[in-house]
Amino acid sequence: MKRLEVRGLQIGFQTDQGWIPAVRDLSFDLGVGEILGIAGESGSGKSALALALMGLLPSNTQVRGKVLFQGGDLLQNNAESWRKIRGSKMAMIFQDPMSSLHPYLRIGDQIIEPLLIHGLANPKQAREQALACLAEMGISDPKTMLQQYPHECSGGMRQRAVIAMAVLAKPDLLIADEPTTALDVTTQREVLIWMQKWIRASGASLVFISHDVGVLSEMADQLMVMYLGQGVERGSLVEVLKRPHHPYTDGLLRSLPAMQDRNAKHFYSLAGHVPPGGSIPSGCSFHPRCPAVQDLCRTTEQMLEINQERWTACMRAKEGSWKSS
Amino acid sequence: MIQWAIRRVLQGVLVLGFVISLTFFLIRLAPGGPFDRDRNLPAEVQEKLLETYHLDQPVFQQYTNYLGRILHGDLGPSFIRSDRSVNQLIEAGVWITFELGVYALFYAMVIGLTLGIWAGTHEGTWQDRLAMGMSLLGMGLPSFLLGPLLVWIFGMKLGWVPVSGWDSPASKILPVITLGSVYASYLARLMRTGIVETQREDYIRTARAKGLSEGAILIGHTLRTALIPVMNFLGPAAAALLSGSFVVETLFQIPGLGRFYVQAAFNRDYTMILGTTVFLSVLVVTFNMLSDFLQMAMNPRIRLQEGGDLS
Ligand SMILES: Nc1ncnc2c1ncn2[C@@H]1O[C@H](COP(=O)(O)OP(=O)(O)OP(=O)(O)O)[C@@H](O)[C@H]1O
Ligand SMILES: [Mg+2]
Repeated sequence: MKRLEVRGLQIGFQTDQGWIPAVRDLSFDLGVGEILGIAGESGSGKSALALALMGLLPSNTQVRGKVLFQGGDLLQNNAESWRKIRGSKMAMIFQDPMSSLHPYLRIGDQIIEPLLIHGLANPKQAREQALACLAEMGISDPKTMLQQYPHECSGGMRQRAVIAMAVLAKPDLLIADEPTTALDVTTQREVLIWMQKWIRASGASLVFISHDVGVLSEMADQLMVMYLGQGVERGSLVEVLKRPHHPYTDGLLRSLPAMQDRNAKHFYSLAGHVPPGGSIPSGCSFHPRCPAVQDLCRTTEQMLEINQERWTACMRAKEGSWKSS
Repeated sequence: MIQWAIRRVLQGVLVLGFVISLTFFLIRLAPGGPFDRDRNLPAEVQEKLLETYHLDQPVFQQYTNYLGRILHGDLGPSFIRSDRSVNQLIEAGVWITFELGVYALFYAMVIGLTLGIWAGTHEGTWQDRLAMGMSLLGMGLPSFLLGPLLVWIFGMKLGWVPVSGWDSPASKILPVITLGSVYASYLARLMRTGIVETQREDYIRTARAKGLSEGAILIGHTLRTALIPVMNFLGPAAAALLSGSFVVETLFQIPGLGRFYVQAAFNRDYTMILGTTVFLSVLVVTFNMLSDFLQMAMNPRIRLQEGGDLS
């Protein structure tokens, strides 16, 4: 069963230099109870996608396509319909818990706000739910924490506050944009394990964005790799890790510390850089950096679809021949 | 925090002492005394007068005497209006000045905050530009120009309101607008900047992601932050409004403190000038202190820093 269907999504930012395409013709599905990991280097459009799903893009943005969620197209929502589903049916966990918490409001009041405004609980119930949730996440003194201001808490506590704020209303769709990059490795692990458990228990679906494929490989059921605003590969986590179809995915995986050959003299890293904002190469947009580039790649692009859950934007994947070259 | 409060109070006392001393000596440095204006008093009467008011003593002794007296709240007798003490004269005028100041502050807040919120929430649109244009006009027009202009239009041409005095409610409208407009303009600007800057913050996006309506975001989240600079300005503004109405009082012939002060200056009424200065300095210092304490109460980050610096 599908929870979210994204069809032909286009996102462009209006800037002084003209339009910057941030997401280009992106289509994917997300099943009920599924965790979809989205990987990609900086600037590949991951945050733009996340914000588009929540309708939170700034006004200098143009969004086209369809985002089907619970029987409606989110992109047709007016302010009132957005207001109703945000924080109740869908919620977002932002990257930087310090800047995404209000500095002058108590943590407790911020956490329970979604429950209150959507009429899901009275203040007393909401407070109890918040206490339980924070305790479950391993906060030793949640009562005190509810009374505190963000600057009085540690980074790990703030991150848990932001997560509690998103999950208390039991949304069906959770979007997490690099939720743990600000944390140390141990705290990051704890938080991730808790999130995974919560998704399994609640049946909600999760879009989990990270540039760290290592983190995604511990969390996700499905993996989608983005490059310059396009989805270049999609498949189940196991499939993609075992048999990447796109040279870009292959490069990302090979640059993981755990995948490095211990005896190799140098760390593997992807050659070249993401082209600066707005300039999209012709043909397959990855071709300037592709180790297996052929003449055809410079002029044409092609999507190879094995099925809805398994596709890649590399035309040479079928031959499987790029790996040997 | 208590440490900080004590330091802040001491600082205020120090400023007061400095202002009082400076005024005391400056007045005596100015040429002419209170009794040698075109009065042609006989020499012995003159001497007698100087003696009654201790003006024959060395300046330094006059100074210490004066300090001793104001510590008891006694600002001394008026030199010119010998039947009244400075305390009585201040009391006679201060309530009218207060009334004028409070109305002007209220007017400035209502107009300023409304305009500022309106402009800030419509950033970059014609509403924004209109509101900021008005504010620019209000800031550029000093009260000695705005006052006569208003009097000419609404008092003389249209005849809607009296052109001077302070009795009927109608007579109070023009002075209040004249006095308050500059502050309304400043407040509008501060409010707008606060809102525009706060709206860019990540935590406002968070509020939107929770499903709050734009109105709830403004009241519950944006204003929380955006009002802080406004509050910080209110203390000094209140002090300035209460003490800075001389021009307006003179323009509209309002029998407030400001008018006494101006008269006292013309008459070289030492104790009256000094007394008013002392009184107003106490007001200004107190309001600034209150505003700092208010700032402290509104900002938890400062509140918790032991002895945090509030510069
Ligand atoms: N508000 C904006 N105005 C103009 N351009 C923007 C804006 N936000 C993002 N972009 C551009 O859109 C593109 C995609 O940005 P996005 O933030 O979605 O990337 P990302 O994959 O999230 O990167 P990161 O890993 O650094 O978070 C980039 O080229 C970026 O410069
Ligand atoms: Mg991002």
